Amino acid sequence: MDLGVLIRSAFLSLFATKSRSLLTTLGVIIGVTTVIAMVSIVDGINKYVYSALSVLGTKSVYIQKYKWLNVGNRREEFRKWSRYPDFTFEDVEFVKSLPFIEDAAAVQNVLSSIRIRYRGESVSGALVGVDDASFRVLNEELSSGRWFSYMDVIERRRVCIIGYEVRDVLFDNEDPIGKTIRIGRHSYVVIGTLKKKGSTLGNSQDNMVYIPVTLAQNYARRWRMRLWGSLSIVALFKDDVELEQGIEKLRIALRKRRHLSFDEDDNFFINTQEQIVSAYRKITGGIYLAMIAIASLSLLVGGIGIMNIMLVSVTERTREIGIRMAVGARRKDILLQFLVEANILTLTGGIIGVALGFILAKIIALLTPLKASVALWSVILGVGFSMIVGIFFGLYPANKASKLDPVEALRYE
Amino acid sequence: MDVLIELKNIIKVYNTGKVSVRALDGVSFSVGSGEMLSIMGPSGSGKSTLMHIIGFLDRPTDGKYFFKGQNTTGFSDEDLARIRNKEIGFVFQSFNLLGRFTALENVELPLVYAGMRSKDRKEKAMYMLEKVGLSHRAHHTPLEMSGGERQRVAIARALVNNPSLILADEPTGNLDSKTGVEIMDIFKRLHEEGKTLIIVTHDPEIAGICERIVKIRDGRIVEDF
Repeated sequence: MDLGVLIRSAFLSLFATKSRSLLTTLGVIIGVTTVIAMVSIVDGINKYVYSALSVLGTKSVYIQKYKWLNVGNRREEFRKWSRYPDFTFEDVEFVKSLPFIEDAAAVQNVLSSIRIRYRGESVSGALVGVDDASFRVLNEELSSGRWFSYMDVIERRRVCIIGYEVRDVLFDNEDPIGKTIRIGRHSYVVIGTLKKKGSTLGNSQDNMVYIPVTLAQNYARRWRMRLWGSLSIVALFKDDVELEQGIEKLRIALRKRRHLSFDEDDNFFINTQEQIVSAYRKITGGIYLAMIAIASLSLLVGGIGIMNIMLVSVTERTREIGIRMAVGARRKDILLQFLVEANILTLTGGIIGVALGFILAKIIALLTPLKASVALWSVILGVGFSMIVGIFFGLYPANKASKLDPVEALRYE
Repeated sequence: MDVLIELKNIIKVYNTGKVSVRALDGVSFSVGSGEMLSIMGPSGSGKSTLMHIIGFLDRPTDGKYFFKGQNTTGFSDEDLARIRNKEIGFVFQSFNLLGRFTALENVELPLVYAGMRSKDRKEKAMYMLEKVGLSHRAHHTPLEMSGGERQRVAIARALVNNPSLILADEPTGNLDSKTGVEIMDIFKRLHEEGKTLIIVTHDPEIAGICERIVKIRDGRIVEDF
């Protein structure tokens, strides 16, 4: 049958009951809007998180005595990990000398929160020990001053480099270079300041205080931080090295250096950003799926509305169906006619919903740091979904219409 | 004269709950091509049921129906729809036009289901409207028309696919007598052109115009002359 005629007659009958058609479509509009908005928000959150994580650099790995984001029997494992041999500065040099490694640096996390004072002001900062090479490996940018020299590190000079926030709170407009600040119970001279980095996942990256790694080790030793205070090696692979292959080569090199026989497990871990990303995916994937499922539920409710109104329409137009049958409409012609009508309802709703979802995503992008964008696939999803709803929920009423007895349909008042 | 339809011992039983009603009780008759006949009978006599069966809107419970010499007993719903589309033209008492569509679109409808192209459809439908003298009303909806005009649109629709048989069910029942005469004039003209017409009515005056009258009562033919 002629599609043009089908669509025209569908529009005629939908326009005859304008407000009813509109109200019915509203369910689908809301459903599709929610799906589109939800998907784009989720997408925005994902992009935000990934870009925040990639600040740390994807080509760098952390060689440590512990594993990131470990789930399982923690106590047992922590005890085991504590007994692993510590990494030393010789190990850093060793890693640096490997042919597939661009650069390597020693990093020692000391405290995530320590009091820092200058004159009357005080601020809480995260104390991290670094060496002269860390500048390149950690991808840091200085705002003023200089980075640590090799001599600063080996002579354990009490110098420090402060993050943007620390500088902001303690110094106001004053130039901090050369000033002496108190970190815990010790005095340090500021030799450099860092550029503003913002926050990653709610953690400020600007409250850092870097000190020479040799001094940081003193703190760790004094506070008996056998596991978390152990020296970490940050290694950066060469550009032409694949991350996975690089990690495997590095692992073999380290096993050899630590004289592990083939039947012994590794006594170190090579941690990557990918671990955080995949853990993030694992945790949030389910939540996102649930959010989208809830949004789909409103589409389902919209579909039931469509089915309801189509059933009413079939009853109201029983006589029309009879007339069409009398002039030669086959059952499948009638079926198709009502299916097209249901689909025009849902498709219109779908298109309006996509438009509204798009606007909603734009508003969210304007008001929040989330780069909520409408992906093409979510538009296809929205429109496709509304079509499926139209076919699925239109089928029952359309089938009912096509099964009418012509004589009874013609007699219907 | 060729035999167009032949009914042999047609029985139609309606089962409404516990009671079964025998609407047609062994009806046999045949209609030749080009005949104009009327089926008469009081209400409840079974004449409407007979018309529905002749027009393939309904199936007999028992008996044989030959259309153009072909036994239609085993025909599927789709076969029946095709016969209704190509071979039968219905004219109803209450016109049965689609209110939202224009006269032209109403006349086009059988051609739509016949699968004809839009341009050919429009041409043919317009020609039919001209034939019933309504080409100037082609783009009006039935709601804007008088009863007589509506029935002429319905006749145009019945004729548009060039059917072998025109079935009219009380075609003048909703019209004043003057308009009724006009409609009957159209039927007479169609008869003269060689169309086969069956008019179901209880009006003796209408029946009188036909050359053959079949009277039916309690589901049986009581007179055929």
